[in-house]
Amino acid sequence: MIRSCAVLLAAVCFTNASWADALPKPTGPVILTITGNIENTNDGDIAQFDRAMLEGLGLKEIKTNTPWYNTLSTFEGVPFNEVMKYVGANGETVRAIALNDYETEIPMSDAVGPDAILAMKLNGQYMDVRDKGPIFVVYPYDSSQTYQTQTYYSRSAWQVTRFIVE
Amino acid sequence: MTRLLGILIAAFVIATVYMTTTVSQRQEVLRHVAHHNDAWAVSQSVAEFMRLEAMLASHFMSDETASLDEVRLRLDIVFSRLASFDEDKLKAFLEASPKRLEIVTKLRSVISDLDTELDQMDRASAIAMINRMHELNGPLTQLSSQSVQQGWADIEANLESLEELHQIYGIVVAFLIFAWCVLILLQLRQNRLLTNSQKQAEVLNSDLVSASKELQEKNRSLEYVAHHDALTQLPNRILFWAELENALRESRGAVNLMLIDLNDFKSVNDTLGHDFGDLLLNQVSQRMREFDDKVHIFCRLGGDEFACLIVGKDDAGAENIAHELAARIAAPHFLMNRKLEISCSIGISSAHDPQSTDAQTMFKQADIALYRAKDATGQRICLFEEFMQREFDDRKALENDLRLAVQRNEFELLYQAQVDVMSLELRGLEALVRWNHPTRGQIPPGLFVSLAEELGLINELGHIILVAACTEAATWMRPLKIAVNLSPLQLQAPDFVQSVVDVLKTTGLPAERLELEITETVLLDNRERVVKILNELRALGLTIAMDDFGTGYSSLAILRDIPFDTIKLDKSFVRDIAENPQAASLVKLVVDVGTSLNKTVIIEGVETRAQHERIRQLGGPLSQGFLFARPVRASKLGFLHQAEQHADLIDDFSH
Repeated sequence: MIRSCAVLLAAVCFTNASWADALPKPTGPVILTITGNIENTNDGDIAQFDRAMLEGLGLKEIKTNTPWYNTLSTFEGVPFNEVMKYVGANGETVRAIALNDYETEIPMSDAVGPDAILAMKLNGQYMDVRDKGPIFVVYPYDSSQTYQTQTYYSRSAWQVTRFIVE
Repeated sequence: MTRLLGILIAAFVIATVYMTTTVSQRQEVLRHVAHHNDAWAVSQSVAEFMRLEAMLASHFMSDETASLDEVRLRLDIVFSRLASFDEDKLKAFLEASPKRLEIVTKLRSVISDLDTELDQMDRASAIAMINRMHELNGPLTQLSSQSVQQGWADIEANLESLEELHQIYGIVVAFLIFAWCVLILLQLRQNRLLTNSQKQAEVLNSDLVSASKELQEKNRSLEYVAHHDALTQLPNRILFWAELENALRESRGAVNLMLIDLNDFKSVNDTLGHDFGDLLLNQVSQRMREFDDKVHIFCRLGGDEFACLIVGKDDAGAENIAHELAARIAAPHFLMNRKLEISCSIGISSAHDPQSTDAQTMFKQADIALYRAKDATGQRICLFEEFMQREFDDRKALENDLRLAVQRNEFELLYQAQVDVMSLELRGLEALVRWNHPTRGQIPPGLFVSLAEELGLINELGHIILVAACTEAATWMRPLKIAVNLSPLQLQAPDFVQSVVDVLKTTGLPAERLELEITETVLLDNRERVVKILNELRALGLTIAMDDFGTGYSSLAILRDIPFDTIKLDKSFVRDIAENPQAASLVKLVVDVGTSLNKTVIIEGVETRAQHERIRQLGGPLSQGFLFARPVRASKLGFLHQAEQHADLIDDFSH
């Protein structure tokens, strides 16, 4: 009994210690906040990212046509699954919340899948708020007929600042 | 039918293609409409605009509850929303009405002003800005509601299109069902046609099978008819040759070929009729069949000629069979209440090495053997031997030579005197023909006259002799008789009498000087006709002599019935006349009969003085023989050209 209590206590201590120190703190302006069911945080139970932190997770480029631009667009950003892995996300869905309080639900399968990126650059330029920045969830629409549907277009949230993992 | 099927398939393809393209077009439109909801975009823009307005008011009116950064953020958001107004569809919606464009222009102008003035904005200018923005709230909301209406209209149009599409679907499906039904009908019809044609084919097939059976049957019977003799049912000549060649090709042992010929069958036919002859042939062939287990095959080659193949027996074996067969055939036949006996001749040839024997050669050899068998007396069975071939070839050569001889006139006449027994005066001369063969020398008539008869040359030869004899006799100063021998066949020639008339005319010989000599064998033919011809000849003035009298079929009836003038008693009666009184009596009898019947009698074959004296005693009037003269050439007859008569005739002839 005593022994099992000790094990439980140790486990709790370890858990606290691990998420307290898991992620580095952002040094620049915070552009993305992730909350909810995540293992790694850097500010209480949330994980905050500046642009450099996100870019540190690796970059990926998607060239595709979109319903929003009339020409072929090149998006560059961090793979969605890298971010999810980085924060140790567990759950069914990720809710993306935009600056204008637009909210959309993205299934965890998309978030940890290989295709979607959190785009920060469009045609080599960082997107600001007027250009759907700072973060735009982008799928490689041209790669599959499946992505050229309303379902995926509606998951493609822009001006995203927050993810809630549930 | 095929065309209809083709049209149906084409219709299927067209319908399917049409449906597919229409559906995909429609899908495309729906997707495009759905992917970006303009109403949502417009309403969001309006909402963001109002949030900016509220944020601005909050910043300047309510003691800066909201920070300037927050205001700018909202402003940026509005900017980003305004960017969507440049997207194709929304742009078209806005440009559709000048009023909408005016509202958007005002909106852009207000936001743009706010953007430039925000950093230096004081409370008063903020209020003015808020008022400007407030004025736009109404029009923007109207824009939003119009956009919603537009959305609904789009949806309605799409629904209508869908309805239309649904109707087309219905029509196409109905058409497809119809086409399917037609297809089923076609299929059923096709099945029925197939069944029918199958039945027809079956009927046709069975017809063909029965026709083919009938044809086979007919073929069989035709083949049988073609290969068998109708009368005796024995295999015929055609099958015989096939069997002979086959036997020679395949037999391991010796092959014997027998050719069988019925002797004097012609006279059976002539005297008893062809029906009887046929019955006889049939019975003979029945008797042959009794030997079927000993021989390979019997065939009827035609007429009364039969052939028999014997396989695997030696010469003696084959000859034994031939003897048994000949005996069996010779046994009396009882037909139509008659008893008849007929013998046969058999020629046999053997092939001891069948594979190297030629069928034609074998047949010829058997034929040669048969020919010899026919000529033989007693047992008329002959097995071919090599020398027979040589003799046969020799005879063939002689035949050819004889034909040439007739053409070239290689014949010469010798003349033998006929003398008065009492006075020894010359009464006449008999012309005797000789053939001066270029290589064989002189050939006597006994060797070639019968050949000429067989070859059908006798009329020509007879004419040559007659002309030559008459020509020669016509040169003689003394009116002596010239005696010329006739072949029985010459009398059968239809124009014989006329030809004699012609010869007498051209040679100038008086008819009374000509004596034609015939033998009793002429009477074997048509006696009435012979009598008629002889009478015609005698009517010309010439005389007829019966040569070789006393031999053959002589009967007293001849003396009575046949019109002739001279009896020439055969030399066989003279031979022992001097020693044998009985012989002398016979000669006297003939002399007396002849004299009393008013016929001239010539005794032939007088060779000795004793014979001559005896004849003189018996009162024989004329004689002929070596005693008086041998036959001589015409060149020796010079004395006949002189007018005076020589006393010693015998001397004249003897030098």
